[in-house]
Amino acid sequence: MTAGSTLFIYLLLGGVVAVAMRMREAAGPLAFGLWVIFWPFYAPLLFAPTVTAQQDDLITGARADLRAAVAELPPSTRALLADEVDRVLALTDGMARIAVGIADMDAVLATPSFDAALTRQTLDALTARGCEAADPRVLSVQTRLQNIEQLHQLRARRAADLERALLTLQALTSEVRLLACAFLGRGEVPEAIAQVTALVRTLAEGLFAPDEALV
Amino acid sequence: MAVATDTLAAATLDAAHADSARPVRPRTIVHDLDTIIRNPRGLDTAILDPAALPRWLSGLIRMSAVGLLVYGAVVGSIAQMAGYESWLGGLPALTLPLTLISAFMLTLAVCLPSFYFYTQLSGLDVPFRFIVVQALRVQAHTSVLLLGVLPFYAALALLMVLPLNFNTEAIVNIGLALPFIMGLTGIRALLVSFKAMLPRIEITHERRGRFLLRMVLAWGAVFSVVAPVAMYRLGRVYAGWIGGLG
Repeated sequence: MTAGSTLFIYLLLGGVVAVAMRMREAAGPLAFGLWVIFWPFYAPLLFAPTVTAQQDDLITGARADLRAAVAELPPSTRALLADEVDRVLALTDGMARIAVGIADMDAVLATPSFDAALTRQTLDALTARGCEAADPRVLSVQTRLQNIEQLHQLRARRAADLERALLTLQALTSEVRLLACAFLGRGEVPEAIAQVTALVRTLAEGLFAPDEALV
Repeated sequence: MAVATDTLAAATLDAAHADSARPVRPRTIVHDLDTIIRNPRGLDTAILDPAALPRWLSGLIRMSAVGLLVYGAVVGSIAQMAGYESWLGGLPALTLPLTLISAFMLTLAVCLPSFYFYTQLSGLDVPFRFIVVQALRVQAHTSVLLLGVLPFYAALALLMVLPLNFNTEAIVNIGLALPFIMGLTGIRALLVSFKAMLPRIEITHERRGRFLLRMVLAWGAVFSVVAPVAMYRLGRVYAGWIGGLG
């Protein structure tokens, strides 16, 4: 096999990976070129869980709104808030991570072993066959049902966290828009900045629980 | 009023940024270069985040590629001016940047399964994509340091114009060896990074002694064996192609 044909096959595979990556996330021509040329590094990402399109759109939209609001600020106020904005944008990555976690939980809940209805049917069948409550088979199925219930509760909690974070982000954006308005008195500017900082803290505290494992 | 605003903002920002290891986002290439050198713990935190990982992957690839291209172009130009005849052909100013970038990046790609295997053998249960980012981080770190060492190398190369009978071939060979020497600092950065992240990585089985050191040395060893071979083979291919065009 010549070097030319090896290169052709390499780029062909790169094209396949790039198209698959493009189906997962929006990107410009530069990113697409990177995917084609350096596809061995991107291919493992194709096996990583993705956030759902709706959640992704919400997070991307909130991020874009904040950027637009910041762009409208006077330069001096923008400089004061630059680090806070960076911090918020970093926190939106945390929101995307929560969305990935929810997608993971959805994938697990979609498997037959986490189907609550099916598990209840199994439990009913065992009971109909005369198995008692202390029977190990009944206990196993009940444990499974409890696990399913726990996962549903965890999912609901994470979804609520994400919703709360999105709403906080929207409140933050509106506060930044308020700062951009010319009618705000000079004495009110520090108060508004303090409000923005407080909202950033609320967002951070809501997203990163101390016991949260990163891997 | 402006002073009061500044004081308030400074106080609130200081309180908000107490943690130095908070995740950083990839931005411009200059910012990313700065992060690699000055805020490695922030990068550690960022690459553990699945949502931030794809963006950092692209950032690290860009950094690695730019560093190798610039370094290759300078060393290749010096080799060409010195009339260095070798496996790089008659136009090393063109072939060397291409050779460096493709050899180093392809070697990384080829070695990724080995890196993953060594990491698993060390008892660390990390996803494959994490291994990819760590490998690219070493390359990006090396590329940044190559850009840093470039002025010194250029100064050394300028000695060739003096009538001091310097061995020009040796100077070019130093330029070819520097990426490997600088790679050792990348290996050290990898070791420090794994040590810092150890509490957040799942351990499947406990290993005793300096298992992390052995693991990163295994990474370095396999890369050091494959990369020179890839450089030589790809250099000859590019020399043939570019020579054919000429």
